[in-house]
Amino acid sequence: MTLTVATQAPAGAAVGTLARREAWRMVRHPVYLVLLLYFVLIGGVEVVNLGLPSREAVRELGTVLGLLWLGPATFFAANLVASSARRAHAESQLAAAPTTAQARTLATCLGVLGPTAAATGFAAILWLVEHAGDTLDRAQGPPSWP
Amino acid sequence: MTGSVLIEGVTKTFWRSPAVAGADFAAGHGVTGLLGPNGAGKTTLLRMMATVLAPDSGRLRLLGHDPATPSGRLAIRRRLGYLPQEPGFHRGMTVFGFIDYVAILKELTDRRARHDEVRRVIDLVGLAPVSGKRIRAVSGGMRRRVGLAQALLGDPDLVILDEPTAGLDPELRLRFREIVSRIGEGRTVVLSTHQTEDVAAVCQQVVVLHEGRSLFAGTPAALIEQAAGRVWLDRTRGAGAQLAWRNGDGLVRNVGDAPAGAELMAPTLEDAYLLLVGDKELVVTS
Repeated sequence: MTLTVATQAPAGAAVGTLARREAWRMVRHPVYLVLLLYFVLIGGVEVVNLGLPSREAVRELGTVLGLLWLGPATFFAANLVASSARRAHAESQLAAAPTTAQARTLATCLGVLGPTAAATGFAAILWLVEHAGDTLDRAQGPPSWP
Repeated sequence: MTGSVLIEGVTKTFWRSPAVAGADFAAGHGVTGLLGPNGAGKTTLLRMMATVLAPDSGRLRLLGHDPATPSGRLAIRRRLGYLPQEPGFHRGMTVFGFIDYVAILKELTDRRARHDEVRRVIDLVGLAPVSGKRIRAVSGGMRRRVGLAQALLGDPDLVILDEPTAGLDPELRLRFREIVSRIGEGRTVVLSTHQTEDVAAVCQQVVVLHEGRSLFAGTPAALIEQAAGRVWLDRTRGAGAQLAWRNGDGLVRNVGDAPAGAELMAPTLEDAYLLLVGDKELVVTS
């Protein structure tokens, strides 16, 4: 029997890879995606009501998505991902692996940075849009009365 | 025997109830079967061997390391594959995704090498056609194979399988036996079962556990030898029979102290096991 054996990494090296996997699990978690869809819809309604391309609409969208979506969505997704092994009764199976429960917890904590980074990137784009709006306003000068 | 597994006087008690009360045996390369009735302590002993549970007393040495020390545990876990009695799965994951996840936990961090290894074990247990399916969508037998596949990741030197054939249909059991027999070549496999057919089919060594103690450790042939001259056929239950049951052909198979002139039969592993464990509650026919 010929076997191809993958090389094992040094102790603790799995944490980084595991953290990336946990982050990916979180951002693909149904709770995360459903809440994203929900807040995109809410944000969309607000934007339509306020009218684009107003600065208030952009700010509203940023608030709804950045604060309301990021917090609860990441919170629920991270909790569900972190407790999935226990809920699946896989703890004893995973306990026999060289990556300890503490390392798995650390990886999950680091994994939370994944969705946070995604939301931060999104917030940065919104900030740039709003900032560009400011610049445009200043270039156009003060509004004149009709 | 190279002594990959050495167990001496190991005990474990849960709430004053002893689950393992002094187990002793050694296992080297090949397949070793832990045979015993429900509640004999097989699962507890295997969990201790999988470094998931610490013994209360006794000596455990696995692959030359002591699992009582953190460094010993880590060294063992790096060369260990474990399939629990009721393996848990992240059911939303695909078969490939779950095994890949366990591969990361087994410190296979290089993506390409890891994926090659995952594909290898998936092929080994015949899961390739369903590797992209979610675990919740595959059958119980397939899930059992997923459990076996994750246990084989990294080509471990010690594989511990807790009742791997439980709940499988005859065809799947045969397939499992073939896989277990194959992985037992060149490494140590310890499996638990309460089915004597599994032991007779694949194990080079058998350990009979009863009420937390090891009653016998040796080859299946040596166990069968213990029942030589103690199995006979008759029309009724014999007076010296410890156990007796009516066969399909209408005759009673007696196991115990045979009377003079009895029609002796070649014993099976099951006969020897029953004699050793001594279940006197078995239904007696007349």
